[in-house]
Amino acid sequence: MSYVTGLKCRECGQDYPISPLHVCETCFGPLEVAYDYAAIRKAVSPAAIEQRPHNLWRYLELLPVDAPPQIGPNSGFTPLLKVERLGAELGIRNLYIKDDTVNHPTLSYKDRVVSVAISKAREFGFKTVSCASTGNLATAVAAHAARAGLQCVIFMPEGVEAGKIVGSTIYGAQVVIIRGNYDDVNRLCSEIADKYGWAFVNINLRPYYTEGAKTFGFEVAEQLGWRLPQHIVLPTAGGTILPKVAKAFRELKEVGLISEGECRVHCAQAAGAAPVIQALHKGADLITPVKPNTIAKSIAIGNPADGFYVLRAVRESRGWGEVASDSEIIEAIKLLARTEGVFAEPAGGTTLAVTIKLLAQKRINGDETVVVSITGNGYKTLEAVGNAITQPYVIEARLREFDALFEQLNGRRSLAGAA
Amino acid sequence: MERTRERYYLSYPKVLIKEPILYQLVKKFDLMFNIRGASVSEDMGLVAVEFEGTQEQIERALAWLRQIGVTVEPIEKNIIE
Repeated sequence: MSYVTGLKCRECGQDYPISPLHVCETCFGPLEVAYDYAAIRKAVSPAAIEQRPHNLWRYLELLPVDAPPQIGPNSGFTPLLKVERLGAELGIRNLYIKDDTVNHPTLSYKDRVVSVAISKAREFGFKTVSCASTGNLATAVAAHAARAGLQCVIFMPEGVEAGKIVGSTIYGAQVVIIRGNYDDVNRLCSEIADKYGWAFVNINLRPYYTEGAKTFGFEVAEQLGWRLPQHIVLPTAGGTILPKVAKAFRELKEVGLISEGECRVHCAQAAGAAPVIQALHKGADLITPVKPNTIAKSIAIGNPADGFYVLRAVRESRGWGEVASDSEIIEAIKLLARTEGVFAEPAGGTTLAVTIKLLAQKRINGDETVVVSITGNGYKTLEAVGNAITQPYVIEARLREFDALFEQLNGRRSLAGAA
Repeated sequence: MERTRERYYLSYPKVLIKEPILYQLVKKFDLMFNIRGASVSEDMGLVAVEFEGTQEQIERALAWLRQIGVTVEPIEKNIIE
């Protein structure tokens, strides 16, 4: 049974039936899924949810699907790690990492949004799913489409690395490279979505797609014992995850799964793609588009679709936001890997680097409960840190060579610790 | 020529906020437009607009807007993720 009541314009409030629509016909505002929270309140309890399988569908009543979903049976419910060693290094007693580097099957938070979007695509009867992407989204759509038995077409701008193309074609997706700049690709994909009747997960299925991001927030609260952290730091690219985590926290209260607590929601952007942070720091409501230039490719979006809603969610929660430079991002990736054995992509380095800044600014207190969101896996973006790692020693295959190296390094923690 | 309707967000930088850009657009390219939303701040202007015309008229109009410094994007904004 679905508790969805329809789609509602986030700007003018106009109602629409459940359909593959994403924009209000009147004011062009984005549409959002609306629910019957009073009915959900009667249907859910922490105990009932805890009995369910460990995937994102354990919050089914708060997701926009009609039937028990077939897509993403292993997506979501990723670990919430209490990171003692990193916490000690930073001076935060209750520090957690929400670790979507191990999301199934494509190692990023996109497995959440795409599971919901493709489930909905099947319900609507679409035969082809699609997206425009240079990385995590393409991989997630291609993999979930393969498992759902749907055709998949992925659009990419010219100049994308060969590895990114393999990440989609391996799943049987058809990749189309579009000559032109990002503006041209955006425009063409909007036109194709309009004309061909395909399920573009982040265009005509966007209201459903974005709902999948709430599961990140639901899980954080459940894994903390049905309570909110005092702070959560989230990356912002297109602006999907941050407002939806804030919505998730509101919904948990609305349906009685948690009773109290306030969480400050903080935004992290790379310095080379920070239109939302610039607006936040200026106190502006409008977001001035920028041309991205950062190693954090997965969050390099110059004019985020939902940037305005990121600003609103941050302000409503009394949160804040900061940027991280490329070098700060790399240092944070290394710090997380070195202290906790989690290898994040640059988006994760960004959230950790921004957490460190918020702590230095005393916006976060070391005694508070803090969750840092890690939304993608560093194994996919080795090139970003390739020049920043400690280089290995190279020796001949003779013991005396190693003995000499050991002597040379004796006293250094790297090798002497093993003696 | 087949006529089409397309929906865009136009972001104006500060220097263009006082310019009658949509008026000039109609004069130059004979396009119809319908504004669905607009806001102006100290730093920029944002207009949600629907254009109606031939594909060629719209293409030429968008190229001109970009040339004078207006950011033109589909109402979905950046969808490459």
